Amino acid sequence: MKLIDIVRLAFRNMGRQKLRSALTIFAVVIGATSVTIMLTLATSAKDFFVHQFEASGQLQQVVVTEQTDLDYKSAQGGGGGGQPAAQAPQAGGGNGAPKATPKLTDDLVTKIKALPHVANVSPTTDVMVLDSVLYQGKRLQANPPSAYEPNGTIKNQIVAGRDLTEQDGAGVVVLTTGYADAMGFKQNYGGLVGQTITLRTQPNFSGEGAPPPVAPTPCSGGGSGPAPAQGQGQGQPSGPAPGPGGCGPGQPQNQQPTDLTATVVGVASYNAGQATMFISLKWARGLLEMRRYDVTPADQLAAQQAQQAAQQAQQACTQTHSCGQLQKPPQPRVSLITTNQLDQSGYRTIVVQADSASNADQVAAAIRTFGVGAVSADSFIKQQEGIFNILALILGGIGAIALAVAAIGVINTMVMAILERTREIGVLRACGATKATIRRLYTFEAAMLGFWGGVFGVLVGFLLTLAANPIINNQLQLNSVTASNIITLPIWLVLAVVAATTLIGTLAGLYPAGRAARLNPVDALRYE
Amino acid sequence: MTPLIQLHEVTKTYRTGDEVLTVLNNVSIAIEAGDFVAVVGPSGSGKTTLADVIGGLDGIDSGTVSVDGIDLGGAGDRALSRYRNGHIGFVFQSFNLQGSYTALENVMLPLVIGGMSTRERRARAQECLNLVGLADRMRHRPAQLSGGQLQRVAIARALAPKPSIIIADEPTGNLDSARGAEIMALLRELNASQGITLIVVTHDPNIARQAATVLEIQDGVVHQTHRPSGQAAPMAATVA
Repeated sequence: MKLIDIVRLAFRNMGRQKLRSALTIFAVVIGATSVTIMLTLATSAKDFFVHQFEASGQLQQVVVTEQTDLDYKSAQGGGGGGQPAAQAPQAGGGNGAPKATPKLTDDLVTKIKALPHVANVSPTTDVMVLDSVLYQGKRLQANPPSAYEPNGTIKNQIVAGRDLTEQDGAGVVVLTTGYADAMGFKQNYGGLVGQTITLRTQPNFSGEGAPPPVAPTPCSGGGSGPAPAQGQGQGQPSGPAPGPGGCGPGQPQNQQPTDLTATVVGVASYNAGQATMFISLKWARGLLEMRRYDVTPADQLAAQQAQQAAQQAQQACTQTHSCGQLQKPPQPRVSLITTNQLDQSGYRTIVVQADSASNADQVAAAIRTFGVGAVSADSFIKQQEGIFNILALILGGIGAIALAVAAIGVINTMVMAILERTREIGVLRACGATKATIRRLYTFEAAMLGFWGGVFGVLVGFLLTLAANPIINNQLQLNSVTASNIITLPIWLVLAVVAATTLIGTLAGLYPAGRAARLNPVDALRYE
Repeated sequence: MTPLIQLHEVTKTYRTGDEVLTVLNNVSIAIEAGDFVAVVGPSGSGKTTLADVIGGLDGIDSGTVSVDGIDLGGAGDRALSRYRNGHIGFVFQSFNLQGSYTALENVMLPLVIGGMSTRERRARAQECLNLVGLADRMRHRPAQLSGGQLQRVAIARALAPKPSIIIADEPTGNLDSARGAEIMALLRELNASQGITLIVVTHDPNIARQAATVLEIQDGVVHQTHRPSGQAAPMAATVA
């Protein structure tokens, strides 16, 4: 019997019990649809994730940190979208604290720039000087701005306006949609572009834009010992309890917060609507400047020496009882000291862009030889892809349960069909059909049940993705994610599902077809 | 001339539980090509088994069965299937037509199994339906045909692959006597005009009387009787 005739006959047989075949196929459709949807979701999620990474240039990125044992996400600072993290973990708060690990300095930046396969380098830092953001009477809490060299290494997902450029310096910010939403520009991010906002600093701010510190008035009474000139985090000079009438070294200066103005040049989507802002490193450097009147170490030494000299003179006069008019030891001299937090604590991270994604690992390894931590997105992506693959396996497995049930349906249908067609099989055998022909005929029929189930299942799955995309697009838009139609049914999945259901149909058909082939033709012909 | 069908010391037993039933006990028969053979005997005597053995549907325990030089005892499933397809046409008491097929499609079935091309098998099936007098019923399905017509379709189907032997198992059993007589007349006509060896399993003495050779089975033993040619039973005359 020719194959084409077996196919025709199988088709014909399938159409004989239309309802039963349809129901059996329907069961396969449910299984195929569930597998299709589950795997489509898993693969779309993975593709979306990888695509987001690619779009932000993160595939080529290497993040350099002081700590040498961070993974990629921690190195980034827990952010989501390729920007330097808005929230500095411990690193920012620890500015000025002594560190065992090497600082991320401009020296290191220079060294990294000289490495092969390095295309671009941008140091980042968090600027912890702001208290609040003011816009048209609204006062919003200020999350520390993320600062970076806007040279293209770090790309924001701009939803309105533009990203920062190398020309941008002081007074230019890119806000995230989190702020834009809070300022009343939800769904109208373009309206915020060009607006001026006010950034209110914390008190004691002494960086760029703050009024110059006032020199302390000399104390008339005997001052306490000189306080050590030790800077602390946040740029707050330490010292005795501040008071308006205080004097002497260590006196806090500039009690009033400073209002800085900034122009919003762009709105960026960031980390699921987290409110933060991006500024250029140039401006950050200015903001992180600390100016205060204090005792320089040299002056302190001079004062100590003067005091010692005075004490010695005192002792000498008491011994000789020839104390004349003793000179009072001088107060230590107070002078204007300008320091920069960036120089003290180094950068939070250095983001390095390799010339290609495949070289990112190599660049990271080269940077690690400088004794700092460096991680590329590669390992992270691989790890994430592994998670997505496991997710796909789990979801696919759930779908496969439905397919397994459908397979039992196919077996049941075929066993029933063969029971019904026992005499017919006898006739076929009497007319010269071999056992192999009978087996093929029924296996093929079962395979067809699987095949059509797969085809319709994939079709239903496809229609569901068509229906799901607008809903998901809407959600993405609400969260200001610049992506659409992320649920896509890959062609390989279409083919794989149809192939799988056909295979399942075939396997399910083996047992009933084997039974049909083994039927004794003599008994089959006389079967009632 | 060697006989077309030769059975030599054939034994066939059935086991039902502990009981062993010998249906063919050391049977040796020879049937010439073109013969008209009636197989008679009481119910359960093994008439059908003998026909099935000759038709290559059933195996044997011992002995040899040779048809047209083919050793059926030693043949595998493929060879036996090819033998049934090319040499044997079966006609059954209950017609065994495919209900969902038209008469034409039913007749084409053995040709499909034989791998004949679509056009050839259509032509051959039409020819056979013409021969049995159903040229105007080709597109009818079994449900639209009478008992006699159904058996004619079945005969056309048996005839389609140009078999050398037609084995008819109680071909008139489900028909009234007039239709039965018509069917027997058709079969005899095919036997006479086309030289097809006809083996009819029956318990109808009228049919047995028409046959040139009668194989009577009782208790597994076959008695073969030949009737001199031309000594046809009176039944045939009434039909013709």
